[in-house]
Amino acid sequence: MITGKLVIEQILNGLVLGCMYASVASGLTLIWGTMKMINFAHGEFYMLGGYVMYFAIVSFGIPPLYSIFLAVVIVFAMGIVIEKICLHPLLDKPDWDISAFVATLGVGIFFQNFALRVWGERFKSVPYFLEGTLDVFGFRMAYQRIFIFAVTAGVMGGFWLYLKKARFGLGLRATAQDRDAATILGINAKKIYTITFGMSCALASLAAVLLAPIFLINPWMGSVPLIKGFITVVLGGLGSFGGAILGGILLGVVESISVIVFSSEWKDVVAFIILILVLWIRPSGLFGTKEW
Amino acid sequence: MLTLNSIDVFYGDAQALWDISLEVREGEIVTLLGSNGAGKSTTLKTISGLLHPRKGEIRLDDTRIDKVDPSDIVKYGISHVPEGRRLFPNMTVIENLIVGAYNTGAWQHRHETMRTVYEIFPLLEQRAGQLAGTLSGGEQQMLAIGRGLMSRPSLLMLDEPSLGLAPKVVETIFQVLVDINKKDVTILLIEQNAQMALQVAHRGYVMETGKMSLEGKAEDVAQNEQIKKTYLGL
Repeated sequence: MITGKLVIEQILNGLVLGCMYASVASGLTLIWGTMKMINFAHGEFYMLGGYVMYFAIVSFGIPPLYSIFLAVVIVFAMGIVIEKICLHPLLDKPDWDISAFVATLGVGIFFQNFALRVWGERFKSVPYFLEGTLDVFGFRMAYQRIFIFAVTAGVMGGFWLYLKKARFGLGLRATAQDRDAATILGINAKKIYTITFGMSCALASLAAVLLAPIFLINPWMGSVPLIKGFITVVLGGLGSFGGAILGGILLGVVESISVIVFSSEWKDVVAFIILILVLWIRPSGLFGTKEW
Repeated sequence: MLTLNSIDVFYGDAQALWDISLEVREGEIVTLLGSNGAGKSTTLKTISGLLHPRKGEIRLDDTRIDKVDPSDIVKYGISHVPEGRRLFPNMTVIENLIVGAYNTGAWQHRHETMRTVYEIFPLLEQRAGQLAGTLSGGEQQMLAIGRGLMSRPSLLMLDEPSLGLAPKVVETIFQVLVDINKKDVTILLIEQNAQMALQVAHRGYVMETGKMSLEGKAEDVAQNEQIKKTYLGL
């Protein structure tokens, strides 16, 4: 039976899920906005974040909070290395649209198979790092989920401020809006690209590490977030940071509610129907295009 | 201060500039005139490092700068206000100005420099929170010049600042250029509005289809029969 309480609980769950979508999608949109490419290896950086978290906590016994930090920093560094090796040489060469697509697809396949060969196909689980639930007005929320929500909200807010105020953030937005104009102001677009790529990977990793205790770690764990990230990005308007956040939360909430109305197997169907409807009615996304 | 020594510039295989030499001395306003497609913008882009000459050299005082990366040119004290303003439309007036001080040396002084820019263009202060894309043409040009000043340049290069502006606004802009010049900023000005440009400039150069066709004191250039006919409509 559908009760008001169930709906509210699902909305709260949807917010948590939406935070993950927003985090994955904001990374995608960041890359699209600046480098004008889609990173098809984004899901694999998410996966790598999950594995780093797993090894840090389970193999090395590093406390969860430090592990989260470690996973984000390591994946950031990996993103930078991959950009330098695989994308940098292709920059400013003809057919960037296709070369970047093929390169990132290749990186994705490499990491997936690397994980499969080296870490095996067995699913790994990370323990909850926060126990217990919070009861407010009869609603139960696991601390773990509240933590996810708080951290993503904090990071997204911080990142937003960073884009608005920090020297590098302004340089990033300037490059996204007009690369040549940014260049003559002394902004080195290629440096911006490298660091932006790292940041984007770090955001994917953040989503993975926060959700690690809820989902299982495996070589293919990145594919669903990648697809959901795409849906979110299209919903919010490709290249728009605010749109990625709102789109992510919207998608998470709608999916969670659809679980009550239909059943959980229909969740992805609902997500894709929304995508098709948006593409049909508002191809530029719900919140327009650029918002840098 | 700035010397171009017979440079040849190509776009791919197509040659755009032939044997261009030009000199800008400290404290001057130099104007570079010519019709559409004469190669004026190409010349500025080459000084900015966006294009590199295949032959010849560009010197700033005694340093060769023709192989410098475009994003490093500001560090030499050269600021380029590009054709069509090229503002960041989804950034506010303040953000456009601040990003103009991106270069580390200028970044520390950004608030101080912004005050100076506001003194030159009080209108910009009133529009501070507005998105650059929503400004009028004249305001956009003021912002473009203001942004160019944020890097605290010793040489300011402007590409057609009068383009598409009402005569009254053009007059304001040119007055500002004279004022800026008095504050020890050397100016290299590209213009189609030859009359206005020759009024404020000390010296002038005229380009035709990628070649330099005339140079001299602004008064002399203005008196040249050919120039009178072609550019001044006299």
